[in-house]
Amino acid sequence: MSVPDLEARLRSHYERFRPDDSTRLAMASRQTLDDLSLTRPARPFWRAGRLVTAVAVVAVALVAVGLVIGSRGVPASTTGFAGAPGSAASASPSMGAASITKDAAVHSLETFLGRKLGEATVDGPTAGAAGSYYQIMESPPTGVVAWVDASSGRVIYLLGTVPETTKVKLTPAQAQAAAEAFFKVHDISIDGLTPTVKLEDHGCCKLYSVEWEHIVNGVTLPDSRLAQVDPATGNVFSFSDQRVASGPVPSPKIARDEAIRLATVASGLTTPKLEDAHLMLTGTSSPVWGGRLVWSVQLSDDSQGYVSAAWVYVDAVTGETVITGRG
Amino acid sequence: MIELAGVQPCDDDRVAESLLAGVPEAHRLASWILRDPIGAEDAVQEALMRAWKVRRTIRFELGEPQRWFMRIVLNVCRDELRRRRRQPVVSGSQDRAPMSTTTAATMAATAPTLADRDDLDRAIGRLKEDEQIVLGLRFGRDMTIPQIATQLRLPEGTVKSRLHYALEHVRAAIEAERRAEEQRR
Repeated sequence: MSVPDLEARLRSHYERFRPDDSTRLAMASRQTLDDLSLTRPARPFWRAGRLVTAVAVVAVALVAVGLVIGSRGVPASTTGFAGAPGSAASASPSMGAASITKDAAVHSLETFLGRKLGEATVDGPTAGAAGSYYQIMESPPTGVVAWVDASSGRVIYLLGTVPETTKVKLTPAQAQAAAEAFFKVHDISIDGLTPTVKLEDHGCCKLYSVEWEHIVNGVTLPDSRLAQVDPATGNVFSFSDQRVASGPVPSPKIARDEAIRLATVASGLTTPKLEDAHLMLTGTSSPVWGGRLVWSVQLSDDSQGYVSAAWVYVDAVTGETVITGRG
Repeated sequence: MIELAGVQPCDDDRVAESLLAGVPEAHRLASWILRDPIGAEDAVQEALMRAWKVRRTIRFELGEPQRWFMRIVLNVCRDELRRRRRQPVVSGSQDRAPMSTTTAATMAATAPTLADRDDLDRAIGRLKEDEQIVLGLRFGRDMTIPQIATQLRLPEGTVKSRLHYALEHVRAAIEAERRAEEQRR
């Protein structure tokens, strides 16, 4: 692409972001300054607006993730895990069949949360590779986003409000204990799973991410629990419960180093740096590479002045590669 | 003390009016730099807060209250771009639930780009903050090199070089995506 072409494209691109005059912003700005000059608590008006915005943003994100899931067949269900050696989960014969109503799904979520939902929209059931689920989105200010399994009525995914805190008062062990207590209260088994605890710094906020994975002979199965914990209070504000059908674990024929080499070639990155490489089994129902043993390789490249990344699956038996994501 | 042109020190009402007069331009500037209208509104609010907080300690440049406010807006935008760059990107692991691949915080933060991700926007989003700002001022706000240099208080040569590298990096990123796409086919 020549420089003039690129410059023309950039001008056209930026034109998309030309803002209209915003009456709302002008009013909010005046309100903000009024609040500040009167030394009242700051930004009450704007804070409400931000909540609406935040929930809308989460909604867009969830829809986007849903689209990705739909196109890739990534399942998120508690009902379909079957056949994995050492599994603590039980199989469900009704996998994929919607057996509860929308009202029942809402009731299930309310029971889980221990409170009545505010105004909410319910969509679905949406089909996933391992079953179907309802998506419930509650309006602000208490708005949560949740997925409820359409067969069992179990809440399998909850996205709550991320706490705006950078204070870390809990140790990793305390965060893990808080997550364990949460799963115990909600009768979500983590037996036989291996935990890892990470403190994530997102600039605006910090959080503990506590994940349990099912690892058999060094192979990670699509069977995991994840809880996100407020590092100041220990409150679990989001979680996911993933139990996806997978078959027996075959023996790998491709060694880790060879897998990394193959992934590096496939990635197209100029100066790739290895971030992670581990063996995992894909869900049997995945339309792409279902039930395969793969090396999941993550590579990054910052040689161009910015960070690029590529996620690559390398078939651990055949050596075939596929790019599963870029960033 | 405030030396805002025509504004007496401690005259909060008149300071507020001066800041409010700058809001539309601040909004345009932030929209082009952040490429996100909602984020731009938030940035303007944040800039107002910061400006108000330091109104009694910073020296306005005589006759340039708008430029002073715009510099605060630029600083807020730079902070926001830096925060976004720190966010992990969405991974594509196929057999993981949403929370495993995209944490709640990341989802919220990356949603605007998820909704509108073309190769050019991705390429711009990966640039260093200062390069993104120069691109936004040049191709969004349509400023000349001297105008950008004045706004950013930088030598013109520095602006030229940042612009050059920003364009190079964008072009390289687009090329890399094209090559990867060909390889996928």
